[in-house]
Amino acid sequence: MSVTTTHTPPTPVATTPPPRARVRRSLPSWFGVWEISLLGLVTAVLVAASIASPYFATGQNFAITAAGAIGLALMVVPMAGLMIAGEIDLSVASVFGLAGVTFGMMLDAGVPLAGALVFGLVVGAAAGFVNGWLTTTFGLPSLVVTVGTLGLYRGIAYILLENRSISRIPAEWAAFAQSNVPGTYLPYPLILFIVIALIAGVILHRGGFGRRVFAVGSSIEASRYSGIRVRLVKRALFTFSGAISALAGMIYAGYVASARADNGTGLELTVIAIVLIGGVSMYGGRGSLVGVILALFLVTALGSWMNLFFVPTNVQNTVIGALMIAAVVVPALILLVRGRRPRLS
Amino acid sequence: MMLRELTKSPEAPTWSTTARRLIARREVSLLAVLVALVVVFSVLSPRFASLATAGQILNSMSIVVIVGVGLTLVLMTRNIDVSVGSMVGLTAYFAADLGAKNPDMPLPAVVLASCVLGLLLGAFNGLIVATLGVPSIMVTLGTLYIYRGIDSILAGSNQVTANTMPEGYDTIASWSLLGIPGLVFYAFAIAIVAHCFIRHTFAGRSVLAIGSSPEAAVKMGLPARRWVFFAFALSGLLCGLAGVLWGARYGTVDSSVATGFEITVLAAVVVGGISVNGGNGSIAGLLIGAAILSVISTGLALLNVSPFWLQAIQGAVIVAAIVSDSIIRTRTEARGASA
Repeated sequence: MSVTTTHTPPTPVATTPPPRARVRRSLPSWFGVWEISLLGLVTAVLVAASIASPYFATGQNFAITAAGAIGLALMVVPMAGLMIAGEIDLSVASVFGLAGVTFGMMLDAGVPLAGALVFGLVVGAAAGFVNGWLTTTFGLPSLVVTVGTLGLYRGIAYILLENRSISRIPAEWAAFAQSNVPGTYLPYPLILFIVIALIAGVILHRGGFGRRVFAVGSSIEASRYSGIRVRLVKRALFTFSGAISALAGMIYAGYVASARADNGTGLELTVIAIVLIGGVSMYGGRGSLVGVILALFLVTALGSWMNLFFVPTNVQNTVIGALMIAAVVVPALILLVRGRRPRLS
Repeated sequence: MMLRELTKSPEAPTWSTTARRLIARREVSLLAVLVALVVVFSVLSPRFASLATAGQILNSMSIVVIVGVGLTLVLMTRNIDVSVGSMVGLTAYFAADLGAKNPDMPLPAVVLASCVLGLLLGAFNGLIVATLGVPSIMVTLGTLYIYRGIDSILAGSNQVTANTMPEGYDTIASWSLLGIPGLVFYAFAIAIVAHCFIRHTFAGRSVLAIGSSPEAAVKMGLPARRWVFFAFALSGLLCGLAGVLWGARYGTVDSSVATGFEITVLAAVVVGGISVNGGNGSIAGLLIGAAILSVISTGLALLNVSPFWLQAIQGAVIVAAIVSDSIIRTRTEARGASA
């Protein structure tokens, strides 16, 4: 978001007492106080849920929960990168739906599985690129651009498929999306997610591109002066976001064995909630993929716990909402208690 | 915005400079788009250019305008409120349920109760944003879920229908004067008050100043926090009113009322040229933005276009509106005409 241009990130070094500062400095950037707190919370939830329900800490439950959450998990990864770069993509769930629909239609038209997959990925990448192109070329806030394309992409999915559904999903793709690696409780898509998350994490926190992403999110001006091609970085991130959302949508279509225009409606808010709970700053420039993955764990573990007790979805979302507010209020309160006046952003 | 009123033009404005300034105004170009749309639909569908259609268009944009006024004020302070859909949903059920369970309660009391609930919900958003200075999108995204959750705990799978609603509940929205629906009167009354507030009061100018530059506003001694809080609280209040009107208009209220409505309102506001970066925009823009979207949906329905096309066209209109706005803005800035 272009709010970044006027917001200077707070400097924590100045007022924090020296011993605390030393502790903080010894922690790596991708695993700080926020990540430790999240790890504590995840552990607490896992322990509490295991005590509350005998069905929680079972391989079966893990496999079901993981397979169900894979769409969400995949979309969280590029969103973390985008938000660290100071942008946002509200259209991810619409790309998710649109890619599922085009994938299904290709299969229905007799295109082989590999071709349909590639086509879906291209559609997703193109959709993501359009977001990035509109945002960077016209200097528009991505929040507004992607509110528009949220409607546009979902709308195209509806135009293509109306309220029909395509269930001609090849058996091998359904098997990939639904079943576990033989002898384990690890769903195949989970392995794919781990690979993607690992690669993305290494690039983001150890690679040159990741450094540029953080730089762009911290200060566009400074990045431009140091020769970073800001537009290119942002377009790459948007395109990546589109392609991964498309992949997630196609895996989901395999998981439920049907492609529908309304697949994944409203998922964008959950994705953003997880990234924010993961400690990524709304203003860009700060955050880590480790934190985001931990937040993903936290939200899915809580969801699985509540599912075992038949808590309705809307009430489950309330818990996510409360977590989000806690994620912003608690650090702000800590700053307030320490005597720093909060900024009015 | 403020500069325009402080700096005097050095030479007497000639017709051409006045005209150029007028054209450069966002509202005028939007109005042109609106007129063009009306002309196109009138040519395509003979039923479009009628009083009945005009009433329908105004009626369907009214609730969007009411909620949009609150959102406009919030955006002007360089914040955002995405919880409006949930606030409308929660107050709609609360009000309808309250009326259904207490048939003796006078209707103004039900309306008042709903507005107070909305005010409290909005004030909660405002309190967190203003006192802690945390990003409003996080806070209101959180309350979007929380308020919707409270709504579904309250409502369960229950549904308040027109039969169980108190006597005359639907007339809150369905009355009309000289063929103009009552909803339209509410919307325009609120829009006019908001316009006067923003254009002609010190408080309204303060709201815009805070959005233009929060730091400068604070240095000028404006109580920035107070006005941010006020904008959120007002947004909630208007959602409370919109909640009652929603129930009165549609006659059926369950826990899913106004789900995703925040996107519709945000679309109208954004098409209306109200900047998400604060300090910019006008209520006139909001009205035209809401009218454009309403004309499109009504016009397409009259042309028997499949409703499945509607969402894509609305999305494309939003994108087109913001892109054209950006192009116009860069052109006028390049020309040096800082209108």
